[in-house]
Amino acid sequence: MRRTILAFSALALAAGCDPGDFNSVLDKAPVQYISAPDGFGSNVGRTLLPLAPPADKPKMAARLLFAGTDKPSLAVADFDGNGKAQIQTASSDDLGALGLGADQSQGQGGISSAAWLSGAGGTGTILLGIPDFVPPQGQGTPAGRVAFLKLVGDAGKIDFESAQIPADGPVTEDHFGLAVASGRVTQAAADEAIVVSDNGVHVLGVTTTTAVSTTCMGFLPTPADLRRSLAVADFLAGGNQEIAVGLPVKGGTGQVFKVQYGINPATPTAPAGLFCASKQGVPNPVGNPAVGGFGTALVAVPRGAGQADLVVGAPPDRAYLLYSDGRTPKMFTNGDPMSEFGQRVALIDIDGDGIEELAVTALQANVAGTQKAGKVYFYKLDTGDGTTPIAVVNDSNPIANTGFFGIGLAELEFNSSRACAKGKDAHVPVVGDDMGIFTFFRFAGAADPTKSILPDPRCFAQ
Amino acid sequence: MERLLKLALASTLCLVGAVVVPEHVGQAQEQTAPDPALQAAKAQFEDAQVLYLKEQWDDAAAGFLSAYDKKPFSSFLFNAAVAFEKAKKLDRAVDMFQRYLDKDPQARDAADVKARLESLKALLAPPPPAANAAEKAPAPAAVLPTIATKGLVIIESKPTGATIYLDDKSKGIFGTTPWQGSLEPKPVKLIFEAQGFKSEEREISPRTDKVVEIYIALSEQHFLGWIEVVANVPGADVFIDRQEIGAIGKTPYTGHLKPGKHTLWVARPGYQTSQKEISVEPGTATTHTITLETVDYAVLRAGGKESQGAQLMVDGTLVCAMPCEHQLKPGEHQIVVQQEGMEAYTTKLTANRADETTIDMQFSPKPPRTKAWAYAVLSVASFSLGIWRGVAGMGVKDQINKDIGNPARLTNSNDPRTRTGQIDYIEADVLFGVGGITALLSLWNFLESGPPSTAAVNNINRTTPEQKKLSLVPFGLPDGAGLAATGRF
Repeated sequence: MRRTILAFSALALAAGCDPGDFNSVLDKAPVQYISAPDGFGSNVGRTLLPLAPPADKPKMAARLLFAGTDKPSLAVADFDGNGKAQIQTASSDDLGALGLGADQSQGQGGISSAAWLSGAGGTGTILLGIPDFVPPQGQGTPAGRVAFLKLVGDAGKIDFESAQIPADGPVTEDHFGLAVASGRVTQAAADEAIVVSDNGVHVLGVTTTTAVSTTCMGFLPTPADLRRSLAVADFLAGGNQEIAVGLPVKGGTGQVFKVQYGINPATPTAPAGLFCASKQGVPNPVGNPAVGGFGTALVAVPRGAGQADLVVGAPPDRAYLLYSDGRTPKMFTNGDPMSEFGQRVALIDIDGDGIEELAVTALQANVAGTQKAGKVYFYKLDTGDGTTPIAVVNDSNPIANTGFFGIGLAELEFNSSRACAKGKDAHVPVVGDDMGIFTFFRFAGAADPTKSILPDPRCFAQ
Repeated sequence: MERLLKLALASTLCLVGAVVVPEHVGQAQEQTAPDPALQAAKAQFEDAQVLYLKEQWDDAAAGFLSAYDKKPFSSFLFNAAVAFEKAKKLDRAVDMFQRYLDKDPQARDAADVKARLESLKALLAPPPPAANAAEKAPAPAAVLPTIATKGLVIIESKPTGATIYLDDKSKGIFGTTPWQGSLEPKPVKLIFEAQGFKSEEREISPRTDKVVEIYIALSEQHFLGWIEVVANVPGADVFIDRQEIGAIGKTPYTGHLKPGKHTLWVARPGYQTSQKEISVEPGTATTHTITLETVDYAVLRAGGKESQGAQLMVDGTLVCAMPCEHQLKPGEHQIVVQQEGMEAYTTKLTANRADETTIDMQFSPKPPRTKAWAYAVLSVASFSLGIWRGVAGMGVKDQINKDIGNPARLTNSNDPRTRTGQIDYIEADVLFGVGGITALLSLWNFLESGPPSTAAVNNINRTTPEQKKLSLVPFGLPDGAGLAATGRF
């Protein structure tokens, strides 16, 4: 009898030792980590692009595209259901359709950045920058490229095979696609693709798949490195959007240029008459003119009346809010010149008040004894002195030196779920690192830190 | 039986009697060894009597005294005194009579002898001086009564001290043995009595010229009784008074018993023992008829090689440690025999009244449990380690849960402790698996049995006359098994 009891006890205990229990435990973790699929390479969390759910899948809460930057790789995380992401990875065939197949790119070139070009009826196009693309011998010039990826898959899946590659591009420009963004800078009726190359800006119409619409070249100095940042907004409050290009200079002085497109008086009606009306350099703010990292990251801060300000990341220890109205820029800093503060900037509503805060990455910040693991600081834009964040997050299991926590920043909005919209609470900060993505479903800086901002999973069952 | 025969023989000898009577008595008496002095005295006495009859008084007197010298019977002195008186040797006569009285002052004729002695003394006294002539004339001699010699009767008995009556007990006790004296020369009946002995009577004819010797051995007073015990079941054991000393015979039984009350048992396997109180009268023969009833149970005897201490279980109840015997109610029973280190033996047995079933066990050893214990130890160790690892994993999980619930700590789902905990769990599961498998192996080895133990089961019914019987029973050997033939012829 005793042996039987022992056996049953052991079986009961064994049943209680299901390794899968940890998954269910971690499902309740406030921060859900999405590991990159195998073969993604590094810098996995650098390119993060929140996607709207497809029109035929309105219950889809949120989707996030992420891509490797040092080798061709692409995946979409569907937060469809209980908040855990379902990863849809582009296969080698998919990558081939994007011109990223092994036989096409010889395995080189990753996706530098991505942008969402919205279309009618909730449809849209994903714009991918592939600056290191080197086509096979005899199949083109090694100048980089961009790709358009239609978001029209069945059952909400991404149809990678629908990708469209513009035929060649600015063959005279290397690293076409160093940064990409969407915007309407040429008074177009639809979103345009803004593409940065080594020394210029290119604007492509979405429907134009064979040629670059117009360029604004030659104003960028020969880069000392291949870092570019891009932000598109109506900085001048003139009704059109302008392009802000960040140009950090390693060992030099970083700059930000604002590019304004206008109408060529000589050919006022022709599209080709659009020209690069202004290429205004933005001087470094006062205080640290020699910062080479100035312009490493940009983000536009929408204001009322269509105007936008610009936040410029200026590592190693600063970020600036450049007001469009000429006010004195506001500096944000963590006071640690070794932390690479300002490598990434983004606007994320972390406290659920409906107003986005400024997120600044200190990519090499030490975390509780772990050297150079990375942190992300959150600041109120309009209040505070810029040195006191309302929250600082990091990997609870930091990785020294190569963690790169904060290498990518984004925000997911679960308001897309029609029946389960949570309003302003339904914002989920997303932080990328070298190997994956952190999604903060509960946030220490929130008004109620114990409250999960994850929508009720039952909503997804509708 | 032998004892009874001895008892009967002794009793018979007592009945025959050990009475030794001299030749003139003529009855069956035990012959005692002759006393040479007595025989010599007797011969001398008879010679003296012959001389007396020839009136050779002096020689007769000398003969009687010679006989007295050989055997100092007082009668010899009396006869010598008479012979001296006849010989006119009154002084010697007075002397002999006086010795006679001195020798036997309680003699029945002591008073007469004293009177005669005084008379003789008077005759011997000198006459007193005469006062005158007339007075000087001699006085006439006194006239003495006639006297004669007397015979001798010697009476002895076994045991001594027996009471002697003459002719009729109403006359009172005559004397006690040993006795010697004279009796009137006429037939007389002697009656002997002694406590615990049977009374005896003898007729004798004393004579004056003879010495009569009588020796009688009295028989003990008790006698054996004769009994016959018969029963409706021949061959039943017969016990008297004490069962523990064993049966004295089997029915039908005949034999002697001491008089008195006895307890009689008649017993036979398969029948209820009958007990009866009987009374035996000496010298009687009685027949006791016993009816034995069949027992209302069966008897199970269990034993066999290496069965010492084995447990006999009947219908799930431990009844005895083997070898042993157990009574069964009629009907079907489940018999189980268990012996330490041996395979159990199980059988069904149908018991009838008066059945006697013998189970002769042949045990088969159980296989060694070394492997079972080894597996058990390994199982316990595995379970213990598994519990240890499981608890460790639970600790990790609890800590993660705690951290998840901590608002100040943004635990992420990629927590590396998860891997530690999962490894702990996997280790625990593996160990539990090993523990479970080894537990099953242990259980299997514990339950593993060797060749079954066997038994030779022999059943007879005690109420049925034994018949020649041949039966086949299974048996087991280290190298195999087969059938063994057992028979009763």
